[in-house]
Amino acid sequence: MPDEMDEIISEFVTEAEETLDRIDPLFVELESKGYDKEMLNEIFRGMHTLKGAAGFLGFQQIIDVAHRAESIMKCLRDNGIAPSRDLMDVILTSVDMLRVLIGHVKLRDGAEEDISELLTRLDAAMDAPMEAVATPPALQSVPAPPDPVAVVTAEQVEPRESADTTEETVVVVAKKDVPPPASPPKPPAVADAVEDQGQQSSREREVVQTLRVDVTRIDKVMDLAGETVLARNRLLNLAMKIEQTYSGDPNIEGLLETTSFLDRVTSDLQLAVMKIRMQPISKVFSKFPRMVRDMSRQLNKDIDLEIFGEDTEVDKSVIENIGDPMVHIIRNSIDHGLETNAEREAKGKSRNGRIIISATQQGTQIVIEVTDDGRGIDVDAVRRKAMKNGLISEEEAEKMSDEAAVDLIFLPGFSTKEVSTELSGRGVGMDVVKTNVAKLNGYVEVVTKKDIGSTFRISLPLTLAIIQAMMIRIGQEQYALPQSMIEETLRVRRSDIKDVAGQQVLTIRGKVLPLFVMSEVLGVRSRSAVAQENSYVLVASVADRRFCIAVDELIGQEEVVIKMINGVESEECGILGATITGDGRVVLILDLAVIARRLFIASRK
Amino acid sequence: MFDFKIKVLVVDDFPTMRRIVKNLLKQLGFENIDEAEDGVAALSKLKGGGFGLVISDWNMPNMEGIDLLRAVRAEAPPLKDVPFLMVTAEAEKEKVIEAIKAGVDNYVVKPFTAEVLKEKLEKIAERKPSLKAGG
Repeated sequence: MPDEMDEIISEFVTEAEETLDRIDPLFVELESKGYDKEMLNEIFRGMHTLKGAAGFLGFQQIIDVAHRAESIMKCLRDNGIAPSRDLMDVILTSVDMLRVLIGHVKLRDGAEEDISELLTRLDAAMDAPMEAVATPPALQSVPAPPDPVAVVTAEQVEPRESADTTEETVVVVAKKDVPPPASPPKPPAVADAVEDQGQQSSREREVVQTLRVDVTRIDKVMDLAGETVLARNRLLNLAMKIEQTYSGDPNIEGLLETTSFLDRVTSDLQLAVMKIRMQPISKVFSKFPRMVRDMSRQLNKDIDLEIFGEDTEVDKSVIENIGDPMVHIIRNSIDHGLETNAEREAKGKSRNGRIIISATQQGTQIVIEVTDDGRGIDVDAVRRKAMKNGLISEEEAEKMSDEAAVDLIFLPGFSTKEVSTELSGRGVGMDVVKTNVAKLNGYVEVVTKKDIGSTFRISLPLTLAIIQAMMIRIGQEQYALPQSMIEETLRVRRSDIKDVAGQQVLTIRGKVLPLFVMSEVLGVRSRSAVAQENSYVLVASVADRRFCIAVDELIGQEEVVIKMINGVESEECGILGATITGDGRVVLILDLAVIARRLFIASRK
Repeated sequence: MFDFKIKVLVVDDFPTMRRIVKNLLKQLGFENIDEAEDGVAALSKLKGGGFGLVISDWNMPNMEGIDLLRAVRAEAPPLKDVPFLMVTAEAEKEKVIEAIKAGVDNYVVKPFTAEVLKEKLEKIAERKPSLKAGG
């Protein structure tokens, strides 16, 4: 039954990836904790399971790697050994290799990797901790703070080549502390008691029933819920009009009751469907401890990582697309933000740098923050660099507030370090972060203070299918603009508009912003908005740009369901999609990001 | 031959493994297969009654295979006597002995083929005729 086999292999790939995702953060936690039987056991079980299933399916390379990793974990677990950093490196390399191998299985490309070196390293690692096996198993309570005197004695007794790894010292101390003849290998009573505890705690874990569903089915439901929302909006609108016309009709009250009930139910339905697509952001965050750990090793900076709000739920598409921008920001914070341990001590700061990653839901927004307590962004250096790269003129640089200057880092091709390092700079910079976040209808900001640190804040809408929109009118037509990109709306007098070198500008709270007229941008016939004595202006903030845009009329805010238009690419025409308003009109949703890009390219010429 | 109508419970925490074992059982001809993700879930299903064979993995969270076996053997008949096949990757002697002491009917080392599974079940059926057709 080839189809059955194919399905089993697909299932194996998904579950194998999930298993690795689950155990990955444990390694890093383990490294800071030292010995933890429960964690070691969980990793052991993951490897064990992988090996078992791979055995049935005949994936020999996966078996080879997983088997060795499993043996090492088992040895650590059963003998109360805290893994050394070097050992951890080997095991983490194995996890990476398993991902590559599983990738081959996923693609069904039958390719093999050269794993001989890794296997040799694993075998060597297996021999190393085995030394401790001869001694009685250390109890869980043993890896206490090592007694300095004992350490010295231990090292004298048994000199080691790599005496710098404290983990090994702990093991040696353990040897000293447990009276060797007294306890036979694996005292059963203690072992059982420990096991029972473990079971108790894991049994308390809530059993969550899950169902795997093809995402296209969910999207179909989402789509239908969207249609229902549109119909509801239309119905509410009609009901209101009918009430005005036939207020005396005995059925009106029933109609209004029903529509208001439908209103509530539809909102609940919409929310419920949205929730199906939502997943905890831990799916993304779980990769970071490992990444921070690796960087900390490479750059020789000791880092305390704190993660909050892992349970915050976000749309599946956010899960899929927020990883890369976040990786970039975190790398940047560690590489450029955090000082070396020595620099920090010289400044009187804590030796270890801190990185705080958090996610919170604030109303209909998801706010993700990456904070470091490093040196902060040098605003003057940013100004100089931007000038040198021809991004701004000297005059602009002088006028620019610090706040605006910091935002220059989001300009394409910007990098504050002269020589970009292997880790964070690769020619691409924060501009890519900004673009990727904008694709999710979100925006990114940075707050920084010298020697205190920096915070990168990404704000995203809860869902991508429904957005808060500003409804505007240009000429005869109504349009919608994503509210997330509009900072404020103003009514300005003609006399407020100035002309600077052929470009109309407005001064908003001390900042000079270019002013564009939407009807001209769209090429729509209209009584020129600016020709009137008073005109409506929106202050838009898109990626790195702030600008004003004049419209004929502001209609108001509305929650709209975005419907994609087949064959219409937003990148080409600046139209995000369409929606149907409460009064039944089809309205185009404009993509301010695309429009802004065009305007600024045109105005620079 | 086996009584293919009996209800079989496949216990493993890894869904792919359950599917593989179920697939092998189907290849042998078994039709009525249920599954559980760990010892705790398995025990509550088994207590519901009607199972004629348990195939359980050893290493699972919450409740390991060996503890499930012990719990089953501590029940009243007929559950107490249900044929129990342990799936293990660790062919270490001490573990197998532990399982035999706890009353396992047989064990099979991963990975195994449908043919090996059949042999093991035949051995069990010699002592526990309930597994055999008409038994």
